[in-house]
Amino acid sequence: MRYWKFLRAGARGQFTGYRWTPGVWAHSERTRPCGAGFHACRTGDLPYWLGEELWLIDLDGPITELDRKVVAPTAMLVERVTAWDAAAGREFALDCVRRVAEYAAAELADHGLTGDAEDLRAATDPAGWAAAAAAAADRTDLASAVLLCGYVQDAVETFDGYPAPASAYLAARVADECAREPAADGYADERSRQARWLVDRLELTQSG
Amino acid sequence: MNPATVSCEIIVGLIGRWHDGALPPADGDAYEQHLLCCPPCLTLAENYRRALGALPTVANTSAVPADLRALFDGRPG
Repeated sequence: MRYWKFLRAGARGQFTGYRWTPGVWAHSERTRPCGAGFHACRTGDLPYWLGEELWLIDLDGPITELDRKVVAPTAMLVERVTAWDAAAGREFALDCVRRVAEYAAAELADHGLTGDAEDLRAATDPAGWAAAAAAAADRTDLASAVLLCGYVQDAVETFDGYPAPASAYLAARVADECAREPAADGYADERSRQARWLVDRLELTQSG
Repeated sequence: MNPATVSCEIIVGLIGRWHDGALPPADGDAYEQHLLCCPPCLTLAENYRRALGALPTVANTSAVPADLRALFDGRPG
């Protein structure tokens, strides 16, 4: 089983600032979710914990499987996934903005606003999505369409001014708003889609 | 606590409990996920962490001087 870990630049823990030394086992006397031990990701967990650096990590000792991560008492950074860099992060964030635009276009089309939906789908960059969304919002009083077009503009601003995790979060939040069935978990579904994007783009395999 | 809807106000109120390890795992998850996509909250949490880390270096753990202790010992409680 393979696991990964996102870190800040310089192989530092995202929340604790812990400075990892690649190739050296680190030990913790105990494990507790979010509190003690070394936390890592399966492929499906990756979009929840995005950071500047991505590392392949070895775990040892009892591995506790949690909903969105695993935790173990012993861990070692094996090698950095160099495919995850600033450019890849930007590409990933852009894909998240595109998803938000798709959700808004679907909402417009569902309510017969096909011209505006097509304009939104035809746009290919953040400025185009923002302009198409603003124009569509100006032409309708439909609250759900106005809301989603607003999210598109938020997503473009987020893409321009915030790190990739913010774009990923916003896309998941919008997916949650758009979930059609009461039992559907749009947030988790969108996070799963993001995980597949990362696996494909970074060529990660869970086993190996 | 739902990570999809949790607000900055709630997150800020959890910083101390997270550092104390007092948050339930689900809340800890939501807290950490929020920090990753909210630079202002991350900065606040980072400052808190640094302040905690600095405490041992500024705390005066030396013995109270005898003359100062005598002053206080003579006072009524």
